Amino acid sequence: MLVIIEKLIIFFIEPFLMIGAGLGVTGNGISKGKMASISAIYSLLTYGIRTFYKMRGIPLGTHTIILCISLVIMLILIGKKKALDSTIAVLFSLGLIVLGEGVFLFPLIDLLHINLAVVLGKPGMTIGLGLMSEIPLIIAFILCYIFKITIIDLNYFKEAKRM
Amino acid sequence: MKLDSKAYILVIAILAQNVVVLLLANKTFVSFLDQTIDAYRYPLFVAIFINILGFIGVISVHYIIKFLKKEKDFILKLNDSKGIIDALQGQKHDFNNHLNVVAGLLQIGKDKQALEYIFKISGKVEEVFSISKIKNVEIAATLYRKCAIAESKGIEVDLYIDSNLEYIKIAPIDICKILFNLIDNAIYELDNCRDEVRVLTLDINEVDDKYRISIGNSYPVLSPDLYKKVFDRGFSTKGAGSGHGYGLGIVKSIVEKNKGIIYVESFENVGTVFTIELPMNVRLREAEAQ
Repeated sequence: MLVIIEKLIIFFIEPFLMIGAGLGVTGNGISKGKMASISAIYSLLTYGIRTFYKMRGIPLGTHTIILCISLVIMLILIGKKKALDSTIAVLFSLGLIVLGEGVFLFPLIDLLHINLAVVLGKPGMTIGLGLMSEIPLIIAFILCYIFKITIIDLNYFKEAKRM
Repeated sequence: MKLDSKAYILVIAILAQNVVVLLLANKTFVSFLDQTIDAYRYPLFVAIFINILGFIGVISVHYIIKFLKKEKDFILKLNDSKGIIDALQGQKHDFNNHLNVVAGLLQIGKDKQALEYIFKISGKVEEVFSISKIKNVEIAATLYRKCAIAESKGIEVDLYIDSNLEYIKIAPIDICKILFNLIDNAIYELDNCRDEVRVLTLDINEVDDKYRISIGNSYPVLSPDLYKKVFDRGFSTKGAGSGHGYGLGIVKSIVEKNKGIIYVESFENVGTVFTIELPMNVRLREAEAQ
């Protein structure tokens, strides 16, 4: 039960950071309430899809595509964002998560000879390792959402069009 | 496609490529780990999609280069605008000096000379400001700058501008290269001549559906057998081994690339005149006329 709660928490944190960092990087703002509601739905969806894949014996991989498309749709419908802005936000955040896995998580596993099957059963480890892979995303969230530093400023093109 | 849509698609394509590359890199990383991790597996359509993304990379580069080229054009235009402002500031300075001369002449009672001076200057001002008739900002800026350089070297500049070149069918960077080369050549020859009267002539007019730009220098006079030779790469009247002799060849190739023609004529007591004829964007002219 504790593992399930931990998974739901990390599945909630992940989209929350993804939305904040992803939209913040293009200079798009979104309220914390909307972010939280999208994250809550995404969290349940992720858990559901992963469980479904496990039950059916489908290898993971394509679930990422399904989840990303779902997040884009939620950003359009709930967040009231443009499809292109939402796609950029999700792709940017996904890139950071994968980067975090490659740069922080996997080297750590290799360095400390961690046995994932054993470790993930211990309390707090799912969240701990999850956050480990989200270090770049957390940094981007702080820079782009909290400090509002726009890296890919696409609003410039919109302003140029109006001029 | 609109510019902002292009920018969005470009960013999405690059980010998608980035994610795919990172995923593949991680897959390689996982394969080196001692333990078995539940590695992701993708179906065939994802592999095809990744290959398509690879192809899109080439298109992304193409668009990035295109954006950079546009930016370069804008910078050139901005520099030209600065050139015009500098030239206008120079004109303002000259104008103040002329007013001081007129005031001085009037103060010492030389009314007739003052009047003559005003007539002389008004003709000159009219001539210089005729450049402002040109609607193509790059050409106007180039002419302003080059005329100022020529005059600073004591060369007399005669301008005959009877067209605003509004519908000229050539890229701004190309026309600037042509004018730079031709006017620089003329100034170089006139600067190195010992004649008392050294005249640079610029004549811009329209003939049928073409624009004709003539740049003449009162010195030297070319013999007819050189009319074709001057456009040969490496041929120069400025002396061998000095890296000269490529400008006119480049000018000819740019003019021909833009479906225009260039020729040279030379006459005793007149000098040498290079003439280029460039096509007019007739469709645009007719569309605007309607």
